[in-house]
Amino acid sequence: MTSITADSETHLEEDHGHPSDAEYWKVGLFLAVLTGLEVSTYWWPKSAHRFAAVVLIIMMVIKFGAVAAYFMHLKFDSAALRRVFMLGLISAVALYMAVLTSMTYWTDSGNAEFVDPPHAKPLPPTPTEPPPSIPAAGGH
Amino acid sequence: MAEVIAVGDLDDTAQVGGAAEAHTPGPEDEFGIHAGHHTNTGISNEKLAMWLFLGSECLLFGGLISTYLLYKNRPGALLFKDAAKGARAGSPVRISELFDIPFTSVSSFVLLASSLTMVFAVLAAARNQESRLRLWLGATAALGAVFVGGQVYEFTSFVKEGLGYTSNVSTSAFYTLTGFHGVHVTLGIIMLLTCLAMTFRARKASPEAVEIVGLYWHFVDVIWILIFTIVYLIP
Repeated sequence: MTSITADSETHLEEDHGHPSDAEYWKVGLFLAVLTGLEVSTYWWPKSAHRFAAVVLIIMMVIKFGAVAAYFMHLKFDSAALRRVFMLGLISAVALYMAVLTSMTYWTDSGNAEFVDPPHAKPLPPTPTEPPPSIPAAGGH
Repeated sequence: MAEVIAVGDLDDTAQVGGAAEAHTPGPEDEFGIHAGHHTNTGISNEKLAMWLFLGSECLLFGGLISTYLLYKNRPGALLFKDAAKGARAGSPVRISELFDIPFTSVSSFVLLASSLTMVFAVLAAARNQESRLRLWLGATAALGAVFVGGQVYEFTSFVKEGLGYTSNVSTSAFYTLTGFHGVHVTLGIIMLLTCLAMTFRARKASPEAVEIVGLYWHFVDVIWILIFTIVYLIP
């Protein structure tokens, strides 16, 4: 029984620091502002596309983390739940980064060039001199 | 809550095997839904199962997103606008050139807002505020329905442009990814409406059940955060 009491006290400690309603509104507003910034990158000039991609990925990670931490209560809940979710998330990211790498995504499909139809491979150079004659083997 | 299950407060029966029955969160336990459960892990089995499910869903959507990334520019990914008028009619475009970003942005804001209303639904359930629970559950379901409606409209407009499911590899990957997400949102709406219907019946959904539905709903939102950025916005 003592262990049950101890467990409960541990959980009560983890429950401390729950956001108030106002804080949830603030998180929601923060997410809305980030989404607005994300959408604004659509009108950025083409020269800034590479920079926009980096900014978008950073904002995506921040939004993902904010929703998981505050709205899904991962920040305030048991560490075991955090580990369970992170296991799936990290496994997925690692697995599919490996898949994309093995499928040459970063050097082929990921480029900004339109690759349909794919670039034709250059033909081998036309030989200018006839190949050296091979002396006929002796014999009958 | 610690007083409720403290050793001294439990009778002999509870100490032997009835501890779970002795646990009755009081009105001061606003966040009783997160408090200790009498399982080996200290977490409710249902909640742990939902988190395990969500972890496995990361792998599912990771696969679908990767497939789209692989095929969006591959040979054969050309789309010919107004293909319905004849084979390979119209000018060639990439699938991403047909995206209506302002429209999809509004859908994203709607889904984000539904996550916020879901938070307040979970809080209302924990605080035993039935009328607010109904309001927030209804608002979340309605916002989810608006999102799904927007997706149906988007799909319809793409099909009118000649972008069918089997048009090419990139369209198949796109429809599979966004369609799977849409199905998840639809299932979430059904769960929300079930919880809402239960508030009108004698057998109500427990605060924990509402919280578990909320976890699923927020997960659907975070997956859309990834899809919206990776599929629609990254140039």
